[in-house]
Amino acid sequence: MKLLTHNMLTSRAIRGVTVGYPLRIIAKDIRVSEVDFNPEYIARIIPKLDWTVLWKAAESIGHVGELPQILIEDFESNDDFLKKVHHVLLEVEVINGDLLCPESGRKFPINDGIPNMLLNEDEI
Amino acid sequence: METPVVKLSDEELKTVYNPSEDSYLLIDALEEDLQNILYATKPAICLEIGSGSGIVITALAMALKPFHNAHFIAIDINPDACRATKRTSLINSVDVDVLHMNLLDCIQVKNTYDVILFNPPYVVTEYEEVLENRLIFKTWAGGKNGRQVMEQIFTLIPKILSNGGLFYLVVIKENDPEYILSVFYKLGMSGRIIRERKSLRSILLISNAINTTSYRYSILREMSTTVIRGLHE
Repeated sequence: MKLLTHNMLTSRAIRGVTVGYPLRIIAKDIRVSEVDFNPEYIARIIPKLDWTVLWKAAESIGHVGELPQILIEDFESNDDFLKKVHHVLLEVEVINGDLLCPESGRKFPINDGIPNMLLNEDEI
Repeated sequence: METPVVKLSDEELKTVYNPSEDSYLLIDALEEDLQNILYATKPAICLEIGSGSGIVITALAMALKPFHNAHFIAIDINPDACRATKRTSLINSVDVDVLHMNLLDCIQVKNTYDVILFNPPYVVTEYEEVLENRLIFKTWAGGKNGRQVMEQIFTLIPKILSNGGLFYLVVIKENDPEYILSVFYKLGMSGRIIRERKSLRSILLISNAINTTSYRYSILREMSTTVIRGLHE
């Protein structure tokens, strides 16, 4: 699971949970691999993100690097910045660990990079 | 569009949908749209609901790869399908992030996705079959009008598609495509049938369907399937 995907996940469907976002990450195995850098693409992704959630997720698994906590202005033209975002979004992957609902503490195990977010009938 | 290599074990084939005519129809529909729409709109994030073997999302990822980057996410309720999707993407040298999930249960409601693909379980069945726990049922049992699964997410689609985002849905005649288009319209989306494939033996076979998995499963491939494309404006 890449942090870009994590940015879009919520546990709000659980009964009694009101926001369920962002999910906490407990990473046991992280894989970092090189992915081709395309600044124009990263610039198109950024407006779709919750920046604070991305930053905190990256920090919580120890891969925030020099990524600024607050999104800079004019990011489209700053390749150096986009490269850092690229790394956090696409090159860092949680292979094994857990996602945690911030309210209920419900665990969603991640195995082989695939989070199990299947809810039981009695949870919904 | 290049057809991905898919390798499913006999064990996986017990619960994972083997790519069939409807999968290829959806791939054909996407191929037709590549030049006109997909290259132009440069989808940044693409999502497939119920990816099964992963053939469709992998085909899309392969087709877009030479032109621009995009992020691909696949969801399936069946853990074997999740692993199959991951493997299919890897053996075809593309990258798909996979989530084990029921429909869109844990997807944040935000207008994020530029392309959403859904080849839903659309066979007309009793509602009990929709609730059946055996996973192979999830690949085809559609309940009343074959719409009881797909309908669960219709209202969410315009809430998670980006502006100008595209939704591709495979349906059969029994689902009443015109009715589905009218539902989309009420939800603020324009849609139309973009591809149809008819085969000689179709409708009558369905109403005569014997209540067994294997029979229903086999006739799936004989029905006329349709791809609807919805545009979120």
